[in-house]
Amino acid sequence: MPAEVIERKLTAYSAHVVLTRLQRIGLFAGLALLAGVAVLRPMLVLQVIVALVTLCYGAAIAFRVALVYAAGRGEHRVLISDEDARAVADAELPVYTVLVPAYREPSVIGALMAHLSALEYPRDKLEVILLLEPDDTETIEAARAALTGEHLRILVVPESMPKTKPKACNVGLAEATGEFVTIYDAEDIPDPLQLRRAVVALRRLGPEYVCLQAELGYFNTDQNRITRWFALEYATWFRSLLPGLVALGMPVPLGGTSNHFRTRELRELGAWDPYNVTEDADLGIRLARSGFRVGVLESVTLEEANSDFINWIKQRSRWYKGYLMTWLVHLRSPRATFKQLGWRGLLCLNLFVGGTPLAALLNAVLWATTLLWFLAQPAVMEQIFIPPFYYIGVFCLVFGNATVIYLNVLSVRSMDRPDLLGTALLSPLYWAMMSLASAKAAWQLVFKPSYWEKTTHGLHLPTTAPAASDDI
Amino acid sequence: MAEISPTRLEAPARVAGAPPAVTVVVPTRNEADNVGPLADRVRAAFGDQPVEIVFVDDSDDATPSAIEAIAERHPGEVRLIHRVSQERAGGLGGAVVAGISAARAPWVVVMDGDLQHPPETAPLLLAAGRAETAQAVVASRYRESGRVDGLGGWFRRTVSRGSGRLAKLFFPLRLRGVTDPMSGFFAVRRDAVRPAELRPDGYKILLEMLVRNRIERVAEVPYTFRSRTAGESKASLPEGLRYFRHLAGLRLSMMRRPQSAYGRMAGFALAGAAGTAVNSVALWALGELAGLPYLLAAFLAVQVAIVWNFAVIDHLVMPPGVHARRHRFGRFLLLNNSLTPLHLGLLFALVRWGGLHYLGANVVAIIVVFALRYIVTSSWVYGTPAGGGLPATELMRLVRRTGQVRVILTLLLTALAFPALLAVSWNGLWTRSGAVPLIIPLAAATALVLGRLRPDRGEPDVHDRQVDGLLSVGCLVSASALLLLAPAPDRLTWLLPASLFYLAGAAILLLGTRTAARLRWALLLPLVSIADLGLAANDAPAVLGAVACLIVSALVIFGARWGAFARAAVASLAVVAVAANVPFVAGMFSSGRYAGLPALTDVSLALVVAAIVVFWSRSRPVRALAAGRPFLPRARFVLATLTVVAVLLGLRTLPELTWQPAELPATSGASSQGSPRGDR
Repeated sequence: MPAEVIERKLTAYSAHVVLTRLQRIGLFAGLALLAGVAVLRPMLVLQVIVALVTLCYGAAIAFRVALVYAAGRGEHRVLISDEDARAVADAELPVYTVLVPAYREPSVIGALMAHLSALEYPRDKLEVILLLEPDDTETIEAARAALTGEHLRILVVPESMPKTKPKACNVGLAEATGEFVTIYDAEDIPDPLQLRRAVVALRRLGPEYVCLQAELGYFNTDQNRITRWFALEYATWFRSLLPGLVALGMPVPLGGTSNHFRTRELRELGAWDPYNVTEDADLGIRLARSGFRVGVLESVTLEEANSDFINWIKQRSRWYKGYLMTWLVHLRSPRATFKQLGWRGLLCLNLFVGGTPLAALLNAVLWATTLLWFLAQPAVMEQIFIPPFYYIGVFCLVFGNATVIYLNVLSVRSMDRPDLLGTALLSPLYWAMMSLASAKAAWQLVFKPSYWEKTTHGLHLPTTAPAASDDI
Repeated sequence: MAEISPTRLEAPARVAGAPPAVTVVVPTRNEADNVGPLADRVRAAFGDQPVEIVFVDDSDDATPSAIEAIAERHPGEVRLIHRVSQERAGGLGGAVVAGISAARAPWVVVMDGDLQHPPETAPLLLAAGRAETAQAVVASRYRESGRVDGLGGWFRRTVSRGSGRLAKLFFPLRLRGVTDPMSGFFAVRRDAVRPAELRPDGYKILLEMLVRNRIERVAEVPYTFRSRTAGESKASLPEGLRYFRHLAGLRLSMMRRPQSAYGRMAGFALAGAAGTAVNSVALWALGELAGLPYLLAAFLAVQVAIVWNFAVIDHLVMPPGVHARRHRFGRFLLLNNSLTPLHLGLLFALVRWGGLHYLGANVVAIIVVFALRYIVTSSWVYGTPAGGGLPATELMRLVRRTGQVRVILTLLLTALAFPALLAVSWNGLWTRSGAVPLIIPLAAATALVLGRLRPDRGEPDVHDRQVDGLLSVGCLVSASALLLLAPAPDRLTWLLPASLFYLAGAAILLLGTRTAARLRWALLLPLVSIADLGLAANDAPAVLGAVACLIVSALVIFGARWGAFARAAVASLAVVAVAANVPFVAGMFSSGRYAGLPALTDVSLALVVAAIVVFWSRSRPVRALAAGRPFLPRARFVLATLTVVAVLLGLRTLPELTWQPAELPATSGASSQGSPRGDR
């Protein structure tokens, strides 16, 4: 099945158009109505906005607490022991396709080969497809030089727009021969038994489960403060929030790599949306819409945590933009979405997929408002924050922030890294970075929706030049 | 993967048809006996190098046929350009230009055909040019080992030498390194000569080329001027007079339409000054003689002055623009007429809200409007000529290229946005209150920042303009909010945080987040001033502040190691020595009120600290990434935006300012009356 045929199946939910005509009309009508009322009764509009924002914010926090509570029982992570994984005879294993999309990453190709060769899977059942872009001769050369083994091959993605990772993955999927397929990024270090665990788990769970999301962690957690924050956040995400979603029977926005699919169903579903910049989260929602379930596999793939401030902002803004896109795409036909996802799914879509970036954006506004109040105490604000919502707002400010910090402290426990406690307590600074990223994401969503913010990898590598010599 | 087959480069041999390495241009006139020996000696002198000899002949005798005979013997190596009597434009100089235009080699040697220029020197010229990467090499009679044997008699020698001196008098800068601008024997890079720009007028083409083609890098090689072997000399008195005329004309034509921005700006200012006179005369004529109402007369007089200015500027100052003249005139007229209301509006604003006296305000307005007129005229009326050179584009290029300029712009913009800070510093100059303690830390911070603009090794070259924009918008909004929210009487206490926010916002926009973040240690330095804010009455806090600045700077530059402290200690000794001597030295040189000015110590210490920090930065340069220049974002719109914000912020505090320094009482030494704290 060629990539075009796969992609054609999802045109209705493609982020090629961010807002459909109907959505656009609705948005403009809503804004016009708001502006009209604002002229007549400005105070009323402000009060309503504050009330809505406060309620949504409170709901998003409550939702997170519910997820952590649901995940707390721990039975929703799929655990396959080493013995069980190795027990399957080689002959019984299916052909497994590993897609590795890479762009401008010649420096990590060597490490990639080492990590792939560590996978415990019979070579004659393994198919690794390296997806490279035609203009990226450096990586192509590096890959050609490093290529070892029959099961590895390079697929140069034909030149066509859009030039994105999901596009490359679709091309790779079209050529895949495996019964199962997974994606690794070039810098990933997967658990060597992960493929075997996924095979065993998918066979045990039955045809209802089409996808398993492996846990992601970082190999450079201790590089600097940003990577420590990032590691804590990932621990919360993959050990509390995603299992919570599974436990509550909600759609799971997938993470960028290490998701293991049944190839046939993935093709039927239309695979990845090449226009969505978080194609993985979108795919997770689409899986749920088709009635499939996603499990969280207890097997860690180590990634490179983004250690640089600007690089981090770029990556995070792409994620947030993608989440917002996915949210808008799946709100195109609310009735169909409700019918397919149910109220739980709708709740997840709004409070988790749309809520994560929006909460980060609102955070900045709310903190600024709080600061303004403490600095100047303008009388207008007393009129805007009317009593019940004011108390909810104060509750969010005190309880909500404490809760999110507490979740981070919980992750310190679950990672068994007591030295990260200080980092967890400093996480409000990390929220400021999130707010910045969400502002960038909102800006880009309006002006450059399909632009793929490329993240630079390999920043954990030591610089090749000798270290600066000592003072003379 | 295609393999690149190794290509083998063969040494250029003396093959017929091979491109020559050097072209020797020989202008000849009635030199039939000299051309044969000359050609032989030139070919012998260059040995293996492929050489091409171009004879440009203006003769009426048998010289052309003699040259043709040589050309037949050496096909492809000797060429003849014969100019019949109607074509001999420019005389000797014209012949040289014709020869250079025909040259095929990258280097051209020009020598006379009368063998007074030894051909054996020609390879030396070429070698010197290649070794020193010069654009031209002059064979000089006046360098140490060069000698004048050939010019008969002291009178001829004096004339020859004097003509060279005269040329250097006319073009002191252009002929800086040239001892013999009259030499007819020189080598020049073919691509440095633009024949179309030359106006050869017989005499001495070298000067013409050096001046009109603006040849910058000139080397010299000494040689000995030989006595003539045959033929007759052409130096004569009428030729000398013609030379003087040529020199004067050359000077005048070089002053017209100056190439450099400063020259053009000066011409612009002169034209404007003359225009003021024209304006006055026209006003008098229209008002007094024609009896028009004075406002109408003034309006018409302004139009007359604009026409005059345009005529002068268009003919003498600006290079011919890209637009037709009538379009240029239309734009000039429109521009000047719209600048007058702007001038008046600015004047009004400065007097009304700026609190300036109207005469002082007018000077400011004139300067602003002049700069604006000049920039808009050069860019909008005349268009940017290829190769740039207008100050507007030059300034932009400077801003584009150097981080240092951006840092200074950031500081200037902050000063523009917070004039109140300047006023406070000025007012506190005598009592050492207000922002005076900031002088030393600011100087140290600036020096530190200027030395640390380059990225560190291992720093990722990842930048994001949207992040810059978002962060700086946050900073600028904070600055404005602090300024707006601040209660009016107490506003000055809010100024410092507000200005720091503006400074950070401007730095992020002009330098990029990454560069601005790299400079964050410099922000530690102003904190030093808080330590000695109150203890103002003697020099001890200033010295302590300077030492603290030195320690912080040393730690930033050298890292946390003992060497840093050792350097800081040595530098502190210098600071103490300066502090001890400043009042003494100041007392020696001035006896007035400035002698006891305590801020003098602060300023001297600031200079010393800045010099030390600069020295340290140079002794330990940041090892930059190998690839390319450090990142600098585009800043065109950013500059405009920051300026607008700065002006708006500045207007907010400007009306409340007073510029009155609080003076120390006559018995200096004790703390001043107004100071809330005494020392001890």
